[in-house]
Amino acid sequence: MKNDDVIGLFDAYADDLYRFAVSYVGTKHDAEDIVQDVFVKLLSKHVLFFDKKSEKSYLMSMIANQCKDFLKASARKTSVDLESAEWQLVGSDEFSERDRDVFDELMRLDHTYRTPIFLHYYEGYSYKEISKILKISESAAAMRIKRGKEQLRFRLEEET
Amino acid sequence: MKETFDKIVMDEEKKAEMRYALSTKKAKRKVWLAPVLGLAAAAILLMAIPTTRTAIVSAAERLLRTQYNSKSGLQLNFYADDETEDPNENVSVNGMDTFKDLIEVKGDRMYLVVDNQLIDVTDLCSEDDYYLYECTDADGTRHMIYVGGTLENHGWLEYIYPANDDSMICITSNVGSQVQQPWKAKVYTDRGEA
Repeated sequence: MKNDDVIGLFDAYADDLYRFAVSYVGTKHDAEDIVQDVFVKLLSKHVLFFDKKSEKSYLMSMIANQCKDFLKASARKTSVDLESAEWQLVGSDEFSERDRDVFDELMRLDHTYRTPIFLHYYEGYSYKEISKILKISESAAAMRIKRGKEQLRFRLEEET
Repeated sequence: MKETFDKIVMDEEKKAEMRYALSTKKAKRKVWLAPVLGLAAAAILLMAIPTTRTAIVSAAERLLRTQYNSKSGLQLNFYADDETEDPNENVSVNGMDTFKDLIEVKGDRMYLVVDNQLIDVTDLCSEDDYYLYECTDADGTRHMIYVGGTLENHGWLEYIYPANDDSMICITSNVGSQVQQPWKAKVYTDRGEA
């Protein structure tokens, strides 16, 4: 893709992709690197998008792949540095006490659950769309969301 | 949740930094030569080169900038005025006489033949999975060779990363479609090119 086209996509979706990457890997700096890597990769790709929705889904899918590789490579699959993530986000994004709680609870979930939950409840993607982005079956997407929700509910009930 | 995540936005400074990087970074030159199916098909590949490329080969005023050698014996010549959008416009392929398939089947074994080695890959790859061979030439050029398939139906992809150059060249052999050969789809997925 041409540099101008990639910058156009960057301007349109940088925050959405960054938010998704944060929800996946948990830390601000890693999420920034992941977003940058994805856009650099786009420079070498020849991609034609049919509509706005498909271009965003495609980018989300690239972010998911990059995050997956990142977690594999850094062996952080089971140990997201929550304190560090929280600190970085609070420091730069003016989280309130409530925001911190919400973020904290979501990040305590395994990424296999929190990623589809984020895509469904924040981005508004359907199970079918999530299955394409995360390259899992539609039923797996639905199941992960259900289980993630159950875990969240269980924790919240325990705390209250 | 919405309210919370709405507050997560990338720093404007970081965005500006990325935007600048994206505007100045030159895209990796990515050349695909596919498919190479033994000498006969390779010859067809050469004959199938568009007229523009044929013209490049014969035009004396075009300066040969760099030349890369693949492990399969092909030579890829890049010419100096390579600013066109399609990098294939400025590359020519030589070496039909030295081209060799990187896979050799002997009896019930399948071998990757590379760098004077015979690597038995029969049990290292399958219809669904690939074997990856990596090496770096003395001049720093890196090669990644993916081999996949079975005794009856196999193929390979060679990625070449020249030293001191932001290029990537890919040569494919008998890799067919992703539906027919899942190992290739896996290569692309694992490389983030799916």
